Amino acid sequence: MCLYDLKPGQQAYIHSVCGDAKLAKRLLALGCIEGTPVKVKMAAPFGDPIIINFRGFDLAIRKKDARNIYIKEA
Amino acid sequence: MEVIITIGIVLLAVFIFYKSAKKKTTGDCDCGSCTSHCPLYEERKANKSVKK
Amino acid sequence: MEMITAALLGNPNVGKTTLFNYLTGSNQYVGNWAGVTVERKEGFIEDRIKIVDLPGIYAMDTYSNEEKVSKEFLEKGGVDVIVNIVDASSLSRNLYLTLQLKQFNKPIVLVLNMIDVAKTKGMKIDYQKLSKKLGVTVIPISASKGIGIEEVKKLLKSGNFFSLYNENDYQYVEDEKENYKYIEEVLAESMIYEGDKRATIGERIDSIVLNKFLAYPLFVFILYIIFKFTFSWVGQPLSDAMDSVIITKIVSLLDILLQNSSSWFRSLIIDGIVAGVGSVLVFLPIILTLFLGISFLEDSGYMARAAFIMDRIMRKMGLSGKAFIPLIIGFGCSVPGIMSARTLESDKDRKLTALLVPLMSCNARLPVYALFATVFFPGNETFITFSLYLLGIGMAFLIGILFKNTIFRKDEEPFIIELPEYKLPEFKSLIRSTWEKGKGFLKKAGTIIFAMSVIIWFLSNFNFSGMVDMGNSFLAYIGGAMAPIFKPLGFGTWQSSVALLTGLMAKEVVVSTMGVVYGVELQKILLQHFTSIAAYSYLVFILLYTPCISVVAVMRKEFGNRMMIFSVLYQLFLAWVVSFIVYNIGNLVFG
Repeated sequence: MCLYDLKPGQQAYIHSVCGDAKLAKRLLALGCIEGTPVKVKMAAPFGDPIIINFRGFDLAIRKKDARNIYIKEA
Repeated sequence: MEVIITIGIVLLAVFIFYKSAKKKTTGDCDCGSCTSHCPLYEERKANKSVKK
Repeated sequence: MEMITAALLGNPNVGKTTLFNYLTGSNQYVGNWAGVTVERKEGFIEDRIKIVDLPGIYAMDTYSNEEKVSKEFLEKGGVDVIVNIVDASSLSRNLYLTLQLKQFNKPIVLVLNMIDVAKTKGMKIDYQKLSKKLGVTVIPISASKGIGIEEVKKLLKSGNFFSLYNENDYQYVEDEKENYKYIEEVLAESMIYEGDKRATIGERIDSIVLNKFLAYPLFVFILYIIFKFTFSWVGQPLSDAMDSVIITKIVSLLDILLQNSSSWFRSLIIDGIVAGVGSVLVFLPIILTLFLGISFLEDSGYMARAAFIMDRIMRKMGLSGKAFIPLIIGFGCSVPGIMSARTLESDKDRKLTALLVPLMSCNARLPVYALFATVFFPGNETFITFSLYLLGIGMAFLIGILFKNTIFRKDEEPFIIELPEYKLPEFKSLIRSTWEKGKGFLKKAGTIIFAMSVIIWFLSNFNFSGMVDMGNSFLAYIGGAMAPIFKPLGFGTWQSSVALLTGLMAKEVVVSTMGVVYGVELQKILLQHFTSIAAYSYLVFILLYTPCISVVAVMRKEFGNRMMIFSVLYQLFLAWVVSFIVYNIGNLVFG
């Protein structure tokens, strides 16, 4: 399962990040690492990009990139 | 008298024009109407303080 | 004593520039969104300590341009101490950078900013323990409230940071997971989290401004309110008052003073200098109010949301939401807009963004809109000006898509942007930055606009045979040669044509040129020379045609001759075509 599948308001835990190397590196540096609780807060008007929240701050990412963030249930 | 003042005004105008045109053609900007965060503005300020 | 160099580093939007301003007493602009500091800048404490403010970054190794600037400086800039400012309310992410900074083996002063926010979020931090655990000096502050700044200053001045404990018990490893594990251990011991007590106001605001149906209408509505504020409520009335009171008084006073002077001298002073400079100067209140409105938006945290909802549209042009920032800056002045395109990652992104920035209507064009809107569309000034800004945005969008599919074929760039928390902009900082702009505008009026007015007065009153009637002057000759080009657009007079030429020095000069050639009674005389539709067509041309020389020069400096020529030509062409369409359709519909 990946972040793309979560609906606004749902929460899960990060499993891993892959895809574009630069973007992955950035997400990792921000603390988007295994075991971090993550929540999808809301989506932009046309459903993309989305706002996710982890480690207490809001981050906007595109849905395409959300597909590369794998998650797991608690 | 009028001629002298006029010459003064013209000299000043040409001087300002020349200086400003020179500045502008090197890519510098003197737009005071600049936004909030003008990278150029910051650069210039930085240079100024270095000279100090 | 030798100069101490302190590098100021931290995540974006944690109050770095605010601290910098406090420490050095300078007036750099602070915005509530990421990426305000593009270049590094320097300031001093008592000429003994040099503080270098570096761009905000999240880490040292994720290949962004801002990181390159910071890294290079840390390695080669002769840095004695790193002042690492962190957001106390979001420590785990902020400390990641701290761990990376420790690799540079320099003393680190960890400035914990926003301790008040952290407290309201229910975080209790044991500073002593944090300091021991990390092996750095910790100073808690609240930069926006001015708390703790003196301690930072004192420590830097004392030089004591060299001798403080530097037990480096943790070595940074190339694995994010390990690093974060360590940070969590540190925080587990030095911070107690009692849970967020605040009502989540931010989330409620977001649920409205980012709402599926409301987001875009609200975006337009907010901009409209700012324009309304500028043109109907505050700016325009002040401008009118300034025009009728100050300028008229000055003119009548000068009339009396110069009673005995020769007519040509009176003309130079009144029709040349006063009309030229005064016609622009009256727009000072409008510029200040518009700027105040935009500053308010920037400080509030809304701009990042705007970038967020615009990403969809930016992507159609092949640009990331990050390119939205140079475009927004372009509303102030195209030059810094083009320069800030530097922060974009790919060369194509930079070029495409730089080509689009001048289509964003800059402040210098505002006096022209304001003049024509008050004369030709009284009561509808807000709408007319607003429509021009929107036209610029719309054009940028169309041109962006066109270029993307022709000269700049490319893939999408990834996009992430942090959404800062909302905050109520501080009155003091709003006033300060607005005043800075006002000063800049006054300076411009006193220098280039003054100089141009004098030059234009001479060109419009002389030819090779001496002083002549304006219709036979140099200026009329030059303008007359250009006029046929603009005839199909509805404004084929030599006056309007030559104003476009002089406007290349600075767009406000369009207004001062008209002030000089039409005289002090500009507003009444203009009505005889333009129809309303021609006036609007003229404004469209002003919006879209080649911006001032500075922009052309900066384009050349950043991207070379070919780009410069291309940008000039495409904008001329675009302006002509769009004005032509507007004029002819306008005539069909309203004519």
